[in-house]
Amino acid sequence: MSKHTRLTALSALALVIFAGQAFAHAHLTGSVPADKATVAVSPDELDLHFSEELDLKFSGAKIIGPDKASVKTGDAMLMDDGKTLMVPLLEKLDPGAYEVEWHVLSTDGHKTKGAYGFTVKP
Amino acid sequence: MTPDAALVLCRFLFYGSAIFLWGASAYICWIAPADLAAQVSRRLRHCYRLSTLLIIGTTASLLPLRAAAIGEGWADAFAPQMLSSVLTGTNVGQAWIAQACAAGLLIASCLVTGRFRYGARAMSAGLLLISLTLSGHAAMHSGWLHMMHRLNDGVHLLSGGAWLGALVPIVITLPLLRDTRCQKDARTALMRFSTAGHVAVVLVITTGIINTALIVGSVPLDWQLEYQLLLSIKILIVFALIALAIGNRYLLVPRLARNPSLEPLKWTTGAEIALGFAVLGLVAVFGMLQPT
Repeated sequence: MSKHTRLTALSALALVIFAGQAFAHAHLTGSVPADKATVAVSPDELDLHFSEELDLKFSGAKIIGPDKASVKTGDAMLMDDGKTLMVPLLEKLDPGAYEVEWHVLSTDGHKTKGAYGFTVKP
Repeated sequence: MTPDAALVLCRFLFYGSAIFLWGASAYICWIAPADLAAQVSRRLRHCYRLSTLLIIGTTASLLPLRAAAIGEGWADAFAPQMLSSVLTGTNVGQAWIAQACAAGLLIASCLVTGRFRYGARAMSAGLLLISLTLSGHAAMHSGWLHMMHRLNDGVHLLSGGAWLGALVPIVITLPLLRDTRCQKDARTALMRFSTAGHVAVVLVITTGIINTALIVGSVPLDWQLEYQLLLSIKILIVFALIALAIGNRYLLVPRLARNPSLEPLKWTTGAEIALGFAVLGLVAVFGMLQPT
């Protein structure tokens, strides 16, 4: 094999191996409670899973209750190698629809934000 | 101007200066024979001064710009609380500390005299480029892939920078081919640059492909995304750069023996430098965009 063929083959191999792994800028990949989920009991905490490691200092989530008021939360923490943002809830959530507004800074220096909702069953 | 636009401008000026300092010093240090190195270096002293000042200016502005971009806008750029939060609480803050240290080394290298001067400048400029791999998309993975990505990005910056940065002293070396006193040295330098250039181009392409694979995960053809569109344009420009380099090496240089005009070679080298700036401009923009 010539040097060029070998190089091309290696590059192609590298493309195949790493394909689909990438995700710069942190995306929300899942959460507990999940988006649009209905839960029977009030959760103790919210877990937001992201595609990338976060900087805690500039990451957080606000929970807005059925009465449009924000719900009291404890200090957020990072878990799972910095990819999960855990927000403890200090009070029991009343039945109704809740909206979670999150904003995060990934360690590569990009800001992202978004929102999702869940419902606590009466 | 928004903080993000100012950040793009700041990155562009920083890349241009760091790449010039690295490539030109590498050429002076390892490619050009001593007498020629001294002569070329003397002609470049204003460029050195300007790019060192730009490095200091852009590094000093980068932290407030980061604070403004991460925070709520310009008001946060000089808020002490915000600056210290960015510095201590974020990865980009840590990367900035490394960059500031490398800039400090560059300043110190200006004080070095004698023959270690060029080496010190090359080293500190190389470190400035490597400090860039600590943040940005090279920092997006975790675990072993993270280190590999950084390493790959470092090789990409150093090889690409050595190629583009050395074009400036090459432009100065070319007319010396007609100068009977330094003709021999100039020829030696250009031959060595050509050999090293082959290695640099192969490294740039290989690491570029791996970088694209790591960040985008496929061939960047989803042009709905600005990142992939700009990356594709950059790749096309790099192809043009390589075509020019091959044309120079295999068409224009062999012709020099018969036809004494240096004009075509000067023009194509100038075009390469212009395209190099276009590449840096694109990187400064799309490095901040969402790739996938």
